[in-house]
Amino acid sequence: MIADLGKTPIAWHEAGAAAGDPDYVLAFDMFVYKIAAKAAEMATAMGGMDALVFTAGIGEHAPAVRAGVADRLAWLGVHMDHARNALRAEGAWKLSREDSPVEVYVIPTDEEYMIASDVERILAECA
Amino acid sequence: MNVLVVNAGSSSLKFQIMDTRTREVFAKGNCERIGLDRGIFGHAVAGEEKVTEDALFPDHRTAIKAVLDHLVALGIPFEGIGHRIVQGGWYFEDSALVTDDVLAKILEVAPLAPLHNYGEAAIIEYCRERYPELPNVAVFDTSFHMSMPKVAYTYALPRDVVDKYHVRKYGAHGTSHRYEWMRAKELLGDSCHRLLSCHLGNGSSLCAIEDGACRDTTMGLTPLDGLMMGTRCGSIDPATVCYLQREGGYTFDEVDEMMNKRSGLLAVSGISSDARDIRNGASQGDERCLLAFDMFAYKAMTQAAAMIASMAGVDTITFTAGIGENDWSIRKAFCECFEWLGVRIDNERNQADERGDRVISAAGSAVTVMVVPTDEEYMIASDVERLAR
Repeated sequence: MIADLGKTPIAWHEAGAAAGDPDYVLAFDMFVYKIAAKAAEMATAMGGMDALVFTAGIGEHAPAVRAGVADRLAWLGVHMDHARNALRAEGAWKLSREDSPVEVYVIPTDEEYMIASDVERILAECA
Repeated sequence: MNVLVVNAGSSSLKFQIMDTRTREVFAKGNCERIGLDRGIFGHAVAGEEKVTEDALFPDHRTAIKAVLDHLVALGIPFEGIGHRIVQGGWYFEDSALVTDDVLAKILEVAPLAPLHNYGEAAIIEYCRERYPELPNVAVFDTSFHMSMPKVAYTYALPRDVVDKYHVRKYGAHGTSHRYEWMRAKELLGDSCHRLLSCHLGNGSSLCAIEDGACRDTTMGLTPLDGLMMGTRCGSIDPATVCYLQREGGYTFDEVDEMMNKRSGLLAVSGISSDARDIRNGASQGDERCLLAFDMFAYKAMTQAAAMIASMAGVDTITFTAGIGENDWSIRKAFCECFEWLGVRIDNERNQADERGDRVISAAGSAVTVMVVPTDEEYMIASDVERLAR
């Protein structure tokens, strides 16, 4: 469905789904559904989950997606604080309620920093 | 009602005559190596030894003729015929009394299961010709899963492709999962709402069932998807199919055959697709057998979590089919993996040498875990009774 609608920003999907447009609703629901399913798989691989971290374009900027995923994982102990989730903050911040067994964060990713520090580390090891 | 149940595979056919009220089986048997040389016809009457004889079955029509000739000779009557059909496609949400229209639809959706639907349709055609007054009922492996919500069955491919070729998740083992729900509900009553049904056999699939409706299942467009199985790889990156053709020079038929017939437990263990052989190897410390089992369990557990996510929780788990009913160590590993969800296994009950329906979870387990041997033939026979009347 998303492929069908072309390069549409996730914000359009959130708005479209909120407005009840059936195509957007299905695309949005499927997206959230599959994230939650895979998150449950990953949690099982670890025998449980302490923290759930959102990152990258959608993870950092789409509160409706994060809320949808958290909702689908409430049975795993993921409880969102909706005010915190609605923030548009810089850097990392916590989204979960204080009593949530699983902590939820947004941590903006920084692959360039990881690459740069790997350069430093590996060059130091080679020296 | 006495019902003849016919279950055809790609090169085999199993049959039995069952009383729908008592579940008594009067006669059963099988035809092997249909379309090959050196066919085998096995048959047994209730209470007697099985007889095996050489036969030749060039096609499914010849096989069903031999079966019906044999049943006439035995003099065991039946009032209806139930046919297990692998693919009902997008048409059938329930079993169906066979009419010309139903038969046409079975053939129309056959490309989704080319090795099965055509043979099964040929069998139905012969039965209708020979006994025009007898009702035939088609019972589909897929129809139980038609209650899945769109969010679970839709494939995120371009709309025109999805619509034109009907590519979506269909699932399989529907008749077995339907039986598991029915039986779990009978045994547990009101405490059973969210069932994770685990059909683990030569083919394996999981099904999330909430208040009798399928919420999701692990097999997909075909039975290749989902869990790792005896000879099937299960879910892998779909790009692998393209990659092998491009880099390995395989044809798509070769990749299809590889993923369906030469993968799974057979490929990883290097010795067999049969869990019992691999269990032997593992107990002797064979590294590949140990990995094969670890992978089987890992994929089953992680996909179980996805199924549980579709119901936002679980209160009941059932195990069935060859591995589910007979391999206590897989059940143990599975249950221990979900201790963080409150699943508590009772090791004694789990390892007890029992047949039949039984609870294997400990008292106080947040989730009731049972072994419920499946009975697809009974579901097929009762569907015949339900629809033929």
